[in-house]
Amino acid sequence: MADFKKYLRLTALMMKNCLVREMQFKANFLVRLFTEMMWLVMQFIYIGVMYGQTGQIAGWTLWEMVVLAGTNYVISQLFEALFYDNCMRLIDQIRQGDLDFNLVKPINTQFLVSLRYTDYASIVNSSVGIGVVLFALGKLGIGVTAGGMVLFAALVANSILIYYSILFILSVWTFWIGRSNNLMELYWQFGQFSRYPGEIYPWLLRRLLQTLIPMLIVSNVPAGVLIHKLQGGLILYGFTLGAVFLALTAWIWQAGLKHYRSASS
Amino acid sequence: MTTSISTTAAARKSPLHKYWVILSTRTQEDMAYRANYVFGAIFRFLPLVTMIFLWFAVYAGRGMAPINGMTFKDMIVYNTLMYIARGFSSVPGTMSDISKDIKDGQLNRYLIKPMDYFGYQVMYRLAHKLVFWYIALLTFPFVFWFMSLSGHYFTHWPSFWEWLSFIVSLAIAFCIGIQFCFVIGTLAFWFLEISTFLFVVMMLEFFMSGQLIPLNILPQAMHRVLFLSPFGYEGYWPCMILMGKVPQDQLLPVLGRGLLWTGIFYGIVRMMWKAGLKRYSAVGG
Amino acid sequence: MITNRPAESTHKGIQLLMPIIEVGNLSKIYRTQKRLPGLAGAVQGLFNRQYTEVRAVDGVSFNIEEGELVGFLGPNGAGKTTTLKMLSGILYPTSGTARVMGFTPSERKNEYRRQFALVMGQKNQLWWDLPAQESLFLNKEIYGVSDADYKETLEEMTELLQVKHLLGIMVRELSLGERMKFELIASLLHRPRVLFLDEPTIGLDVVAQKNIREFIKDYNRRTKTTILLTSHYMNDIQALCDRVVVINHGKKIFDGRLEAVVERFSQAKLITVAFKNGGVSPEQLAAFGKVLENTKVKAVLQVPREEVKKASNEILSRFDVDDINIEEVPIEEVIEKVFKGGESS
Repeated sequence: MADFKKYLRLTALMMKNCLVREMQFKANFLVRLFTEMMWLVMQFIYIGVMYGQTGQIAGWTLWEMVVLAGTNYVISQLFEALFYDNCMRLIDQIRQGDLDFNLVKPINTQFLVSLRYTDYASIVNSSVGIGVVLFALGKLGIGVTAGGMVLFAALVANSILIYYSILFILSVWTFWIGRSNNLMELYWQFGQFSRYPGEIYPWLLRRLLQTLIPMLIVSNVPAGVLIHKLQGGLILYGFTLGAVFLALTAWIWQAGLKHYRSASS
Repeated sequence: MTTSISTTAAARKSPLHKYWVILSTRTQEDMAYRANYVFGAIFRFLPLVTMIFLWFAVYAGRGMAPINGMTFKDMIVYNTLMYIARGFSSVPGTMSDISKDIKDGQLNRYLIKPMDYFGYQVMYRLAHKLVFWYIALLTFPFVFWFMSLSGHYFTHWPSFWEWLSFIVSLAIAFCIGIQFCFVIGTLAFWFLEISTFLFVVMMLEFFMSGQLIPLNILPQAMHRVLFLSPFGYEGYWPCMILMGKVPQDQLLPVLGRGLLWTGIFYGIVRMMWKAGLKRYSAVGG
Repeated sequence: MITNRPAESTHKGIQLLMPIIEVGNLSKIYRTQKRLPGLAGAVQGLFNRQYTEVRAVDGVSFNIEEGELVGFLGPNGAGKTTTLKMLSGILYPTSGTARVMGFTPSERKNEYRRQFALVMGQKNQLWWDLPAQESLFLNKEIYGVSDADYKETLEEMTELLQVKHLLGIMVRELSLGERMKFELIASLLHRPRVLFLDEPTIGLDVVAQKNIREFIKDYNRRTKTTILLTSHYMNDIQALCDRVVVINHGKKIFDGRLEAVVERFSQAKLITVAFKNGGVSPEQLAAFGKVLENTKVKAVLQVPREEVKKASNEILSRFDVDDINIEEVPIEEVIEKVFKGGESS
């Protein structure tokens, strides 16, 4: 418990440091907000163009789709706020031998490399996503209970950890293959799968996206909880999957460190 | 020791030889990381999967009726061809590398060398593209073969003129794509922090080139404006030409406008570079 | 005041007899891809790869006692840094053993990591876009240093290194020397028992080098912290270390007092002769050994160790000598020669 508190304090400290750092680049911060917003708008144009041609896509109405897109946006933004930068940096750190100082610290090294940088613009953006979700829910005439809210939040956290696990494992591959920037692009390409309802995919692909590459669990489950479009078993399954993936990261990290070369630049 | 010998030999061979050296060095750099490359080549096609099923669901919702002349099969072919077109017009990293060179004063390294900075950049990027095209050459036939096998997506066999125009349009795509990167990258002479701006630009490019949605199924007003922009040449036009969606008598005007844009960009790049360098040396890198 | 740490021996009697660092037959072998030159080679490498083994560290053994300040000497790529990284638990040894304070470094136990520190001249741990004090504070939290200890240590070290006024300055705006001083402070906040310094003065100007050197010497003397230092500046080693371990091509070639390096590797001594009335022709001098310098007033000869006595006697009797002086060859030259020639014995 004391340990947990210490890690919590360190997380807060690193986040504070990042905030101090970010304050120096205010203009940058604002532009980031703007760009991400554009990204979201573009997604809605895409959805808009498609629903201009048909009333429903694989049984999902326009506003249901918006709830899904919004939820996915919240999750990906929060993931990017906390972990994306760190995973990307990890690749360079492994390749250029900059892990050294992290490895000598008396603390869980995976924690240290995973949470060092926080991207505040993405945190702010995620709140936009929440606004979108609430707006769409209003359009659908669906209310949210306190219990539903808690479950939704827990599922969102779980999804972020699944994203993190996948990206972290991909970056840790650098220990073996020397460079994996292209692998990291997978995040954006896997991300595509989570943006839309699982119903559009054929059976086999859908199962694949629920297990090995659980992109449908990541977005469809939390959104499904909100719009009551979900089989109950998937919730429990989602949490189990999150735990398994997280355990896997720790194991791979330890295995990878044995291959660390600490190149001096 | 060996490097000095090889450079003098290179200098004797031909004025273009140095660019060849740059080009092959970069390719080697890429090849050194084999797994990275293979993954990059394979996973590039992943979004296509989502796209196919998503559009299928959309078309299924409207009884498979075509949208503004685009059938479901057209839509899939368009998005597949888009990979080729964007393979020519998108040169990732160019904008940010140029702006970084300018900001960090790395530019000095190039300015003292007897070569043109943009010539260097073109070769450097070409090297990267070369590997991509090489891998595309190996993978694309499979994609097309699979597509024709799984449902006869290709309903139109292009005429000779369409093939020729397609090839020319790809060259235009590369020229406009890379020169646009130069324009944006060179802005770093005047603005300190442009990395986020780059992102906005890339997103606009993504949309206006027709990569996200075929320009001709956008709302009328929007697609009129976008037809006039140079960005259509980075994706939309090459695809439409090969799909036979550009009437024969329109091929020349379309290509002509593209060439005009290439020339305009060339002028802008040179002008900005000259003005930028003046400012650069005044401030003192 | 940095207080002396009570000796570890108080709670475990046995440890008194054990060296604080034990390295036995330690090796690190890297496998690197063999690349053929040119584009064709790169394409070939894409399909068929060949590997070569590089023995970065090859069967190195040594022991270090608590409180010692030992210099690690060797040319670039000799394996100094690799050894240090294995002792820090950053790299896994390919074979052999390393034990520091009874721990196996590669296990990276927190208890171990709390008790040593690593400073690298070529890498930095401070946050680039923040004032140095933020990085120091983060380290305080990571190492769990109490507020009082932190305050005291920080006060004292910034005073000693004269960087107190720079605590609030962005790291990116500090000079290399100032940054290095903060790197040192960041690593010493938790008062490690063992300190690994990898090229701590690299790239610094002469004044900063001297500052840091003096600080290290003083710190070792006062706190009895065991320090293992690598440097390729002979000045560092000479000023700081009584004992040196010399490695070359991954192998240990010498371990002992610094002065002994000369006896071990130099087969010659220098005889300097001052003449009373004009010089002597070089031919006459060449009979005794290699003539390094010869003017009207002075000559310097390099004479094989075992012939020095005889030679000096003869010089004294044969020429009109004002003064004669016999010295060892300067240590830098000896070392340089050893490294150039590989293993000289």
